[in-house]
This record gives sequence, C-alpha cells and structure tokens, in this order.
Amino acid sequence: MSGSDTDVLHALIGALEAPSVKADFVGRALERPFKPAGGRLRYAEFLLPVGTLFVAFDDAVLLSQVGGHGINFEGRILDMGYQPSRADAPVALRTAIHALVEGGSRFDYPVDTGRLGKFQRRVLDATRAIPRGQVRSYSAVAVQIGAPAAARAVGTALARNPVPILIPCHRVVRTDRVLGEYSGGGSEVKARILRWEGIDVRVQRAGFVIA
Amino acid sequence: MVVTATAAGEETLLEQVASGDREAFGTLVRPHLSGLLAFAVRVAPDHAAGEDALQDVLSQAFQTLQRKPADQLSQLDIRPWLFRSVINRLRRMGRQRREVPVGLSLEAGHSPDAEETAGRRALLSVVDAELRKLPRDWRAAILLRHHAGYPPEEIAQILDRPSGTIKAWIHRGTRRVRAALPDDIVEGGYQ
Repeated sequence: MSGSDTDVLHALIGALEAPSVKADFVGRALERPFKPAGGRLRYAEFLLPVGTLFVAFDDAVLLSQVGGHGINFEGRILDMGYQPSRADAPVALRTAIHALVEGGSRFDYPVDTGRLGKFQRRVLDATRAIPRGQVRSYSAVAVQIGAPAAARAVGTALARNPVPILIPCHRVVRTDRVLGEYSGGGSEVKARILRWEGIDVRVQRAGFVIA
Repeated sequence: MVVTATAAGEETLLEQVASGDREAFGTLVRPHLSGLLAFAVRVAPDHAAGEDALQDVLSQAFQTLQRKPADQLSQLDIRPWLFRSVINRLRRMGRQRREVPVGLSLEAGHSPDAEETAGRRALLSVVDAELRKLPRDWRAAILLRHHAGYPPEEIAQILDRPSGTIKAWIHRGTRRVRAALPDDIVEGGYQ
C-alpha cells in the first residue's frame, strides 16, 4: 500500500457520513429514566490513618479512592456506568481492609481488573505481591513482568490503578528512590502512606526521597 | 479537525451544568453530537444500539457532571470524555448480551450533492462495510483517528489501552480495509 493510497483511504474514512442529529436528541436523552448499563454499584467508606478510603464493590472491588469527598467518588462510579449506592460493606471486605490497617501486606479480597488491558493487569498483579514495608522501582516491576524496556509504561499503568491502597501502587518508586507521582493525590499522599507502612521518607531538594 | 473547547465559554457552561442546568448541558454537548453519533452507530452492533448508547451516555454525563469536584471540572475536556463514555458503554453492552455482528444498517446518505458521484458513494459504503468486519476496538481506534481526528496518544487515553497497541490496531485495520478495496481508488471514488 503506497503512501498516497493510504491518504486516500484516510480521507474516505474521514468522509463517512455523520448521521443527522434530531433537534430534541439531548432533550429526549435527559427525559429518559437514567438506567446505567452496569446497574447499581455499592460503595462504603473506611477511616484509615492516611485518610478516608472509599471502596466500590460487588462481589469484587472495582474502584477505590483515598481522600476527597463521597460525592466525587459517586461521580467516578457514574463515569464507569453504574448508579452509586452507599451501603455497608460485606463482612469479608471489612475484614480484609481491617487486616491492611493492622499491618497486613496483601489485600485479601477479589479485585475486578477485567475491564483493564492485559499489560496493566500484569503490572497490577506484580505490584500486588510487593510486601508492606518494601518498595520496588518502576524498572524492577518492568523486569518482573518480562518487559524490561517498559518502565515508563509501568508508571502509566500504575498511575491509572483503579484501586489505590488495595493494590499498593504507592510501593513502586523511581530508581533513584524519589517517590514519583501518585494518582491518589500527589507525592505527599504517597509519602504519608509509605510512612504509615514504616518506610523512612525524607524531604530533600528532589522531593520526597526514601532514606 | 479536533474541536478544542473555547476555554472560558465552556468553563462557565460546565459550572451551570454542575448546578443542574439542562439548557446549558444541551449547549455544551450540541457541537459534538454529530461526530459522537457517527462514531457510536459504527462501533455499536447496529444503528439503533449506537443511538441508544449515546443517549444513555448523555443522561449519565449530566448526572456525573453534577458530582465532579470543581478542580476536575475545570480540567475536563468534554469531547474526548464523551467519546470515552460511549466506548465504555458499548463495551459493557457487548459483554452483557454477546455481540452479534449485524450487517451494515447505516442508511446510505441520500443527499446526493453535485460532487458526490455514485462511484464515491459506492466506495464509502464499502469502506463502511469493511470497517464493520474489524474487531470493535480496532474499528473504534480507526474512527477516532481518521473520522474524529485524534492523535494516537489521545486515542490511547480514550480507549484506555497503550498507544503502541492503538497504533498497531489502526495500522492493521486500515490495511485490511484497503485490501478489500479496488486497486485504483482515487480521491473522487472509482476512476
């Protein structure tokens, strides 16, 4: 396929017809009873030493958030296509989170990563196995999942961890021991969580650094 | 072709939407509807399902926007966010009732303007039909690239897959579509 040939095809795809939108399209959309594709999704709040942990669950955990407000967490649930509903967590989930607070390493409850890509699932699985009180570098995780050149992609995958705290993406730091970004609220929150887990985090010119 | 928000105007609208203003929501989304619908009806199993998915997305978006924190609201780029909601909705629908590939149900455009030759219309309908034979996510990536005009990096965000994967889907997908077309295609249709 030659270059100009490809351009013609691209132009054709660009020219595919856009159906006309009726004037009342939005009005009708807002009139219809809101029915999320995913149905109801329950969520609960837990008070942790590092802040409030919001957890959305059915028979597995789908989403969590450290800090912030419940109303914003509800927005994220809606974003996923579910109707949020505040509820009590099942005993097994409460027990699993309690064990984390008490110093457990690993969150012992199913986490639904089915809607994520294969690569991200591998990164999250490897991260889940990092024990409390330890850290790994992005490149070490990359090596562990058999993609040694993909340290940066590991960072991206962790930045989009849907379940912070429960899958401990905060335990993955830069090779130079600088904490790096944390999706759950920046490197201060990451520092707070790691200190809570017994890691000595110092403030240096480069930012938060593991001593 | 990518429509970026006119920052100030969109921000005020978003604030109004956040307080539950339906009119403001209409004004906010209207410029994007045609492109979103073109995408939805081609990625969905059929036209009706695509239209349905987009309406659900709009009603969901209206709810979600009223629950977004102000700092996230000001950073929200509405158009890619809506594309993302459409694909996520279609992915979930696909899981719920196993997606049955249906033949082309898009009505052919019946507005034969002077420049639109019969040959070109025929060619477009073949392109449309060939796109439908691709896996859903490949098709979505190609439409986002060449119909909605997004660069691969932004498509990676919308489809939530690495940009390397997106580039591969677009490359292999367009090659497959090209292979089904006559050798001598030119811009205006058949020669």
